Amino acid sequence: MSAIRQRLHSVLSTPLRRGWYRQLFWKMFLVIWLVSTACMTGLFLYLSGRMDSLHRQEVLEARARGQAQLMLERYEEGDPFWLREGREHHRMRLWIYPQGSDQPLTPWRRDPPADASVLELTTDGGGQYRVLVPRPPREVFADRLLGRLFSLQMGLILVVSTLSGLLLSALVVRPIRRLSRHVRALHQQQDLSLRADDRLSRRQDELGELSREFDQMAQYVERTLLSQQRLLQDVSHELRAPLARLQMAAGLAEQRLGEDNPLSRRINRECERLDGLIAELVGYTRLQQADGAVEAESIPLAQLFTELAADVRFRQPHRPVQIEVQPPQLTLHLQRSLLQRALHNGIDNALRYTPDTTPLTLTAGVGRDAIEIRLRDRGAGVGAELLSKLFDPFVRGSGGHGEGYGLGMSIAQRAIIQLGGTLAARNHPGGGLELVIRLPPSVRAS
Amino acid sequence: MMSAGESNMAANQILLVDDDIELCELLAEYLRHEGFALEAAHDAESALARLAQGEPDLLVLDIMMPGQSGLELLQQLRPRYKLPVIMLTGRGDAIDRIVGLEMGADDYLAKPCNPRELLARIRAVLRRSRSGGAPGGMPQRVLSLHGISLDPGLREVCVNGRLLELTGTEFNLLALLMQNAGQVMSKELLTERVLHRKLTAYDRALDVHLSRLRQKLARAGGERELIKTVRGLGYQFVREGG
Repeated sequence: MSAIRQRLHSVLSTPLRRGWYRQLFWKMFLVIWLVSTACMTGLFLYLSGRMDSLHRQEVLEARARGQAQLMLERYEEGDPFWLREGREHHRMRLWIYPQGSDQPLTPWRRDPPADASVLELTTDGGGQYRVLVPRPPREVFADRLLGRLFSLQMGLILVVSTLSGLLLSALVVRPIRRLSRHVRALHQQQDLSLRADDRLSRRQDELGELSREFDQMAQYVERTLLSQQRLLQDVSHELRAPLARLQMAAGLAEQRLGEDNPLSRRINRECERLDGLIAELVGYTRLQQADGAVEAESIPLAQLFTELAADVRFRQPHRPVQIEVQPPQLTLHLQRSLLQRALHNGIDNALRYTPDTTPLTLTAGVGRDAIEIRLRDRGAGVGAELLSKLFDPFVRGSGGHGEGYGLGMSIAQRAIIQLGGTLAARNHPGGGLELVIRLPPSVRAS
Repeated sequence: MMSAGESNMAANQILLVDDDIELCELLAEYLRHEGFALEAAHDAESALARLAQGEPDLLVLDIMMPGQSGLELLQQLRPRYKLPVIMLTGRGDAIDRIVGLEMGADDYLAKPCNPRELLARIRAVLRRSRSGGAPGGMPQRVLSLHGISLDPGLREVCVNGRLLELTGTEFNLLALLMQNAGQVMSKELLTERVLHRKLTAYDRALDVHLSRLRQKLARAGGERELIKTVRGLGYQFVREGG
């Protein structure tokens, strides 16, 4: 049960601030932007390139036709310099053939290039000619491309693909973010009855479906947890009556057998074990439910610590207990039984698993964003594997003395969560296990 | 053993209020063996009816009963009947305990309990009530401090001339503290002398009685905090002029 919660916790508490390139928003944006820019640019370049060459061809042919017309007029007039006709700078080399002849009017020239285009021409005098116009040398491709890339059209393409990229990613990512915030709230407030907001679950698309399915899952988990709790509570409650009778019967047996009889001692000890287990189970299930019935009260921490230290002296008179509260008057306003229970269970754990002459330190202080209570023992600490499961129910360390049921630490954690705080465990660098309770600053009594 | 049982039986009538009939039978057998006469009532009404016929020496009251709870019964019963009450609470029911003690129960025990432990509590409470509640070394004369006068003969306390209603335990506690005004009395000592038993770990019974006593004194117009907590040591009734 709480193992699930733990896992959920570790998943959800991974920081949201990951590298920007890891964020779905930017990933989607980049993909959309790159694809749309590439497609549009490619299409633009292809189309504009085609248009361009057609256009150039037409211009070239029109010019050639004009030049040939002028030349042929002079030629038919018998002007020997007919070849010089035409504008000086733009004069083209043309090969002109009379219709039906393979002999050009300029036989001294080399043959025209094979890819020259052919024009049919009729002069005013009625002569029919074929004109071969050589294709102009191609412009350098890169030049043309550069020219196009820095054109207005390209700018427009960039703007459009950027906008559409931003819009599309926002459309997808925003509801996902909202859903993830919702899930986090579900976990942090420990309230599985929370449901996704209407705007999400009413959506008709896949995201709406996802939120609805998520809600269904939360509902299922909530039901399962509740019924488990109820079962545990019922079982432990129902066990009490027979156990009370069993203890009475054991008492009667003891009366008959005598107090020193090993059998009656054994029966008594087993009864006490059962009793302890049931008491812890009841305590555990009770903490699972919001225990709002108890009113908060003002607790001077120094006083609470002194009481706890006195309890330790009772159980292990040789164990040194150090107490430090900073500032000494630090007073909290909260449900006393919860805090007391958490500390008691932590202390209990230390007493059980560390040698009874090693010191126990209980300190409290005001941090920047939390009130911190630290309980440290000087035992051997806890192995990494056990440390990660320390707050799971029914997890027990080995080598402890006395009877434990593995519920103490999970009860402690429940109690602190109930108070709105957190409980963590670590191996202190200086040796020993340290429990750190962090409570919100709001519990400090003014 | 028989003779001891018979001599006790005449004096020690115990009424057990618990809805678990079989448990009552077992406990009756156990206590009979120890020389007590036990009667059982299985709900609040029959308990009240039984009490109307005459007070037993001690009431053992289960807090968790269907219908009218033990706490409600205790509330109805307290002003009329002065008999000592031991309540059986659920383990971990700190609130029930505190409320119960505040309503005038004399001691509590978590249920399910070891019958031997219950027997010890019964004996301690009976000893307390039989000796008139007076712990050893009870004052013989009227004590008067800070406007509070305590008459051990009449078992009455007046604050500024007005009578103050205290339970037996509270009275004994106040008497002991006033008699030793100025001295720090340890929790161990107070528990032994007032509750007639040893202090155990996580035992807050004395603190509850004491905080209740403080509240009553303050409400009656006690001039200031008369009972001081000396951290780590115990409690102290402030000396006059001190």
